[in-house]
Amino acid sequence: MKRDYEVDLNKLRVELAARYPNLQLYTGDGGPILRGSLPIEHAGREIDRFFVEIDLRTLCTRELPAVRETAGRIPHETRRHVNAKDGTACVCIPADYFVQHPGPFDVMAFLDGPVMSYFIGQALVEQGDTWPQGEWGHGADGLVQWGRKFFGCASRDEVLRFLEIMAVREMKGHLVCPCGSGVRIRKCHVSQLRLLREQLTPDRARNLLEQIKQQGRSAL
Amino acid sequence: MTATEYLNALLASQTLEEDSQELKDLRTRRDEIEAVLRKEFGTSPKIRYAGSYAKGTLVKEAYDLDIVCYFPRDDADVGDTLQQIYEKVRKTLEKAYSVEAKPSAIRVKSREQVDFHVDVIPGRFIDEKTDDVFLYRSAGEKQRLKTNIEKHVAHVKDSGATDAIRIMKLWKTRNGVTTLKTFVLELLAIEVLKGSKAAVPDQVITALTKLRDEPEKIKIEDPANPSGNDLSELWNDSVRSVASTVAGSSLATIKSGGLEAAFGKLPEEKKDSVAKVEALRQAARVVPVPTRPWCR
Repeated sequence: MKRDYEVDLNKLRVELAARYPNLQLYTGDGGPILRGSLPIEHAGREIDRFFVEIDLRTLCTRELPAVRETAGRIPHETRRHVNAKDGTACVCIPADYFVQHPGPFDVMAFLDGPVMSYFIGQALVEQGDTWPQGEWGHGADGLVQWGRKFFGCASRDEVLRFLEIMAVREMKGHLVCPCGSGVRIRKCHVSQLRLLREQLTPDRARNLLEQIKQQGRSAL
Repeated sequence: MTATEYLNALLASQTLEEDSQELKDLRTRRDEIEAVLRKEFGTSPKIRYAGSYAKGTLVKEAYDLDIVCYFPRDDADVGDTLQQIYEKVRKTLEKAYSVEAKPSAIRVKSREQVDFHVDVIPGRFIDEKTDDVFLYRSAGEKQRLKTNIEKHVAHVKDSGATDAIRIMKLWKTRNGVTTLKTFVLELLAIEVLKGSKAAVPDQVITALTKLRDEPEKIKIEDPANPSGNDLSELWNDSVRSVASTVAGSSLATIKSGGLEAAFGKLPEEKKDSVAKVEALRQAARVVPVPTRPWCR
């Protein structure tokens, strides 16, 4: 049975050949890696091109593929959304991606969306312009920002309360609603929370919660 | 547009024009590096361009500028062994830059890890009469390599295949064929295209086809030291397999969509920053489900 993080490599090769012919699928002992270049095109012309490596091996741990720019063009700095430690590109908040793309991981959707967004943004920043979609804050701040948008709440504490409810294996109606009303979930936002839990799984919510708490402690 | 016109336009887009800012920046970078080396070593070493710049095969997005730093045979101050020479040059460069040690060269980067695409290659002349040089080698069976820039440059310039070589370099870089060294790719292309008078598109197809179908039959040797420098590890089964697979993929793309599908659309005519920004913003608008970047 194909797991939702496994990639059909034969199908991927065909899709890549059609849409990203300069991204080659390299398979070795460690697993599949995409390597090559990504053109940015407009009106039938190439505006720019980035040299990249996209490590699909991380999918087996339910993480997004690790993306790296390989020509040394983008400085390894937080403000450029590159991890200084390992040079990986922070193309998006993983939870945001998984909420927008539920179901089995689709490599092509990842390339078309976050990866392309990221490198177009980098090309714009190089020209002195800004990120077209804006930027999330760094570290826990960015996760809280996203949480506020996703849950429609105003504060970090509210985000944490929502995430704690989302992280439980089974949401019980007698728990206090995270909206701050003081009322139990069953008499408050039960339908909305159920919908949210379909989008953000308990595992991912737990992961997010831990990251916010951990980075919050590091910042102290 | 014919295939030849397309490849000529692609090559033109990859050429560093004499009055281009990129070439000026490159020369400035070289001068800076030379100044760092001269400050330490004085007038002793010969410091000059090597590699693709010297051979006329430089492609803008696939170049590494090679700068050799060759010491005279009788310079005792720099060190007795090739390893000592290499380490001394590396430490000198480290005072001003971030460096990455490679088997024979030293990669130079900024402190923020921005890659300058410059390799400094320390070495020592074998004698005063020839341009033969010994380089230190940290990997492989032998700890030294004998080479000669003039022989390499002549080998490439006399091949009659410099345009095809440049296209193949672009192919290698754009498709991430990192295990195949550029120096080896040049030798492969020259060997496969020996005596060819065909047009560049046909030469490229010939080279890719040979790589796909019979890579093991392409024999290469180092023109600077044919009997002494063993290139078998640089063109082994694993490297051949990767080159063959990617060549096959590219040929399939060429068959279905032409050279442009495999090598990319021609770049925009030179535009100012404002126009480039507008084009990028237009490209951003058509990204399905765009995202914002983040950083841990």
